Amino acid sequence: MRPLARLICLTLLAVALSGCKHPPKPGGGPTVVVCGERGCPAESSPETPPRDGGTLVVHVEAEPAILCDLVEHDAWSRWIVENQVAETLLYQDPWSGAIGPRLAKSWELPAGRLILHLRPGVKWHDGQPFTSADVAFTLGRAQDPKVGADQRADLEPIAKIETPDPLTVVLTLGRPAPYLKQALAHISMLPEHAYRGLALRTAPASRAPIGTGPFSFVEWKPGERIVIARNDAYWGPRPHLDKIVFQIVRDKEVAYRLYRRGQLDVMRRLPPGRTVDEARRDPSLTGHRLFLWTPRAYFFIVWNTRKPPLDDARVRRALTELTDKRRFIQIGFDGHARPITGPYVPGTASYDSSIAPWPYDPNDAKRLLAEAGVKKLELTFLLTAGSRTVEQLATLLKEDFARAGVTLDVATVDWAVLLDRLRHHAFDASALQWTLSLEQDNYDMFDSTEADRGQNYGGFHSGAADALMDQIRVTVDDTARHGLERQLHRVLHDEQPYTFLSSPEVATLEAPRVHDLAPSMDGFSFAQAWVDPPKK
Amino acid sequence: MSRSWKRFSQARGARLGLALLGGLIALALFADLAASDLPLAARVGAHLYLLPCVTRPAALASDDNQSLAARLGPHDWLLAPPVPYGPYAQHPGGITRVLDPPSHRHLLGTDDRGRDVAARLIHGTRIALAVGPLAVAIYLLLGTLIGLLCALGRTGDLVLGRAIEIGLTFPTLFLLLAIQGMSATASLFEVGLAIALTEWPHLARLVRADALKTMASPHVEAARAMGASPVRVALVHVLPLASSAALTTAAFGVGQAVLFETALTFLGFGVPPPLASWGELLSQAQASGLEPWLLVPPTVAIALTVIACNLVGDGVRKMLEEPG
Amino acid sequence: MSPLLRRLLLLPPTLLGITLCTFLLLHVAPGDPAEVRAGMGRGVTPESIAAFRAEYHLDEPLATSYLHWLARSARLDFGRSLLDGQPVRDKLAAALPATLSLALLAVALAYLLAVPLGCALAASDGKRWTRLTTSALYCLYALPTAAVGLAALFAGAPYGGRGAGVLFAAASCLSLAAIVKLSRYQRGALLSALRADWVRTARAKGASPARVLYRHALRNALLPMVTLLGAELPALLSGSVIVEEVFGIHGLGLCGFDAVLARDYPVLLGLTTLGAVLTLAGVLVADAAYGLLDPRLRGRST
Repeated sequence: MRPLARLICLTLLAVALSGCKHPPKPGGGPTVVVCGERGCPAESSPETPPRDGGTLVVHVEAEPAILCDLVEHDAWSRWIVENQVAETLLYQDPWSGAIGPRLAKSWELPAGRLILHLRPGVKWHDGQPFTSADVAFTLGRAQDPKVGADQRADLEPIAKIETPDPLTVVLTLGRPAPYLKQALAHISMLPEHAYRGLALRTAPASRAPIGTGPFSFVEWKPGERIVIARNDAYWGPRPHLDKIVFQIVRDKEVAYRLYRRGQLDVMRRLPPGRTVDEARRDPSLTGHRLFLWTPRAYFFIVWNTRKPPLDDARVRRALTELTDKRRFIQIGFDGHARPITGPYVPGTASYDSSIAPWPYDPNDAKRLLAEAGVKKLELTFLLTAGSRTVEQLATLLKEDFARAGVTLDVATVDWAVLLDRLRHHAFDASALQWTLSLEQDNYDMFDSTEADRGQNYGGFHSGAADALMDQIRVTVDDTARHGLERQLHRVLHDEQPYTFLSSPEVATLEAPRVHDLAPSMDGFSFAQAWVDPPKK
Repeated sequence: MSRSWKRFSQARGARLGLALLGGLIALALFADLAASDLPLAARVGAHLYLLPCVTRPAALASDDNQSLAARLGPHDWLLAPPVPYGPYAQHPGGITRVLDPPSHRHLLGTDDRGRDVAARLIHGTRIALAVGPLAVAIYLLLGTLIGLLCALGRTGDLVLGRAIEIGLTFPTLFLLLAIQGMSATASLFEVGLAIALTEWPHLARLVRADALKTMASPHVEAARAMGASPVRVALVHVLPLASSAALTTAAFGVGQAVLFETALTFLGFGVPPPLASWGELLSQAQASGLEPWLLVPPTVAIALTVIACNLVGDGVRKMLEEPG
Repeated sequence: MSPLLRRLLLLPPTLLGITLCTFLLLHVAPGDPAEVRAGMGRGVTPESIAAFRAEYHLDEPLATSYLHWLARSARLDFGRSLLDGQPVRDKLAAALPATLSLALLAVALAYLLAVPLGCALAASDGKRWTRLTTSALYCLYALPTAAVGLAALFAGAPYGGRGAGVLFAAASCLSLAAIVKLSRYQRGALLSALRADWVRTARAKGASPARVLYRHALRNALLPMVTLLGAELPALLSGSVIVEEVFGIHGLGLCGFDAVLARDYPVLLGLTTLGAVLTLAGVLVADAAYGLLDPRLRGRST
């Protein structure tokens, strides 16, 4: 009930906002599709059934370095490969989180084991059969800490991988593994025969990926485009599209112009200088669809909790209360972001929605600072040049903090230096963004043992949080784990290792000729999409 | 003096250039009077404030022209600067729209952070006129010294000639990064230093060529034949000639350095935000859909500065030319 | 030994110095490429960072690492890019044509426009339109390349790819400063040539003004212009970073821009070496011509 109510509220709010400010003119502007926590509403059924054939041109703003999502953490590398070219063993719905079959047609969970039954008759794009050896190879690589795969920690509980026959994989678990199935839904299978004896990064198959998916790789012209085409030998339902061209256009404004001229069909994000309200009223976008959706990601300020006086939770809370989050959302995201209070996806059972954000309250902040015995506080805020939102945040923080006598110096460094400083805890504060999984394991961000290994840049250590996280990691029962996660949410809210800011909304544009293609955190599922024939 | 001035003004437009440059320097010096978020003078609640835009009294710490105007009493008054916004204030007056086109409120519109473009343009003069001369001063010193040393002896020439060539071929971006890396953060000085470090070899090459030419001239050969020490020869005979090349280069160099700074900041390697720089306005123009009010004003400002510097450079060259 | 030969012999040490300086600077610059490459990925571990270092020989001591690089690059193997694992040679070879055609197109444009323009300005020296044109050129010279490129985009110039249209637009922006510079040189050189004694003699002997201008004076004035070519080409090469960024052309400039951000050492080293070779070639040509023109320098070699 709760998510539904929330969705309705959100929709109403959006309608109200758009309604009172700019009355929609008949025939002017794009159709706005507001997506809620359960996904985007299905396209109102058009008279015509899906049509086969045609080419879809998708804008890519940042060229991926390689097309192997096991070692490449870049988003487009994943969106182009995962479930388009290569496939995962299981499938997770990007909104509800429900797990279903994909390359594994079924699975069993006897005590301490996970048995996967693979789909028979599946072939790689080069004609070789897909077997359990490929699964063992891929999972083995993903487990290897030297590879640095995103799901490595989730696979840690696997003690042994066995392949009794070509269509069966048996995973023996050393300890309970609550995140294992989700991980198996996000690891694209790699063909062992194409990687044998080669490094993942430099193997030819990482530039020209070989998968089992509905589309097969065609070409990659560096700086220009990546092309994939329909795989006619696909085991599943045949996709409608002939070809998908991922057009690389670095300048987002130029891309926007190309899009409006009809040279691009899909733009995943409006350019940073464009506001949703502006696009909404643009008569040249009439007939287009504008998806408004909130990705599973959040902006936050990370505090170096090892450095006095930031080691005092009261000081961190004071700084949070000095941050005018509403104004930041207004200025940084033109109002299109929602506040977030903890490291879980809002609307899921892990997120405690009864927690309200700390208010903007300079007086209480001053009280907290005085209580902590802080008289004079000078902090340096690190940011990378060119990230507009963080620059805006820094300017706001500077103003807000000055009201309580806290001096904030803003230092611009480049990405390499920022990473170096974060990893070595040589900073006071910075602003970053994390993406979230539907079942989020926060161990490597907040556990004290992860300060020197993982992503706990702020060196946060809290006995209560550590104990909860140790427990969460071994609790397979969803309801029990979600309860513990809500407790952790509360602890993090009180301790404020981060100042949790907001989840920004994304506006995705699709040309009128594109149908049945909704954006999500996991990219797009092009397998169902279809396009109108080009107009003569 | 008067003869130099006469020769200087013989160059077409030299006086115009000097006037322009003077105007720009004045604008840079008095930027706070031309564009500020605080008034030039005001009487608020029985308090008289003179030039609060410069003195920034603590009592007005959380005020700006707009908030003061809103709470003026019956006997209060306020004299706002021509551009009543500061270069850093985002959304002054509570307006949340960004990228506003020019209007009566914001004569040159606002940028993507809701800051007044006119105010940023005016304060950008400071950055341009600080980085340019700074860079030139550094490379003038370095270039002349190394160029002269080259002319002194064969060994020096062999080693330093190589240094000049290495400097000539060095990629600017790496230099800038290395310099940024050695200190904690990017600053104006480092941008100036980076420009200087990429420009000195060009000057050194000129000075070296001039110095070599002079060394081969009959009167220097005569002086050397009479037993003058190389250092004396360099200082007495070569330096005056070489320094005219250096001074001319310097006059033109300021304009080039301004262009250089623009390019670096445009690429994101220049002066750090939130400093108001013309190059930053250009990169905003690129990032925000080529809005004309973000593209034209900085371009005009840069062009005016460079033209002024070059005109003055022409005059200086004329002034230093041997009469006849 | 002829000065030219001597210069040629000095090329290798200069090149060596440049690579050494780049190498040292890259390692002084903060930020670890292995960490940048790992980014903020959830799976990043000290082991994965160490494995990356080992894979790309980033864990060797500086001296060994430099010697290895030298030995390999002597065989024209510049290693692999840290970003995408591609051989650096392939990456550079893929990016070079765009930049080179951009630079050559810009040089061609500059000479094609500047020589006639300079001649015209010199031939009708003192007329009002000449003064106006000179002033206009003066203003053009002061425009930042980025602004010119953005204005061209605003006016509807094409973007991205390697089409003739986008190359032409980018090359025009790139050549603007060179056009102004060269036409002013050309005008100045022609004017002084026209004042020279032997031109006066030709004129006195009854040669037509056009003949004097084109047969006698132009020939002489073109020589220093050829010298300028050597000096102008490297400047155009480095200036192409801006236009490549503005017009989205996948050339050496953009390649270097990305490599700097990613601390892609092998690509940066390869780029520097390539840039240095091109630039040194330019300087060599300029110096040789300079020596030929000023006989007083001939006796003294550098």
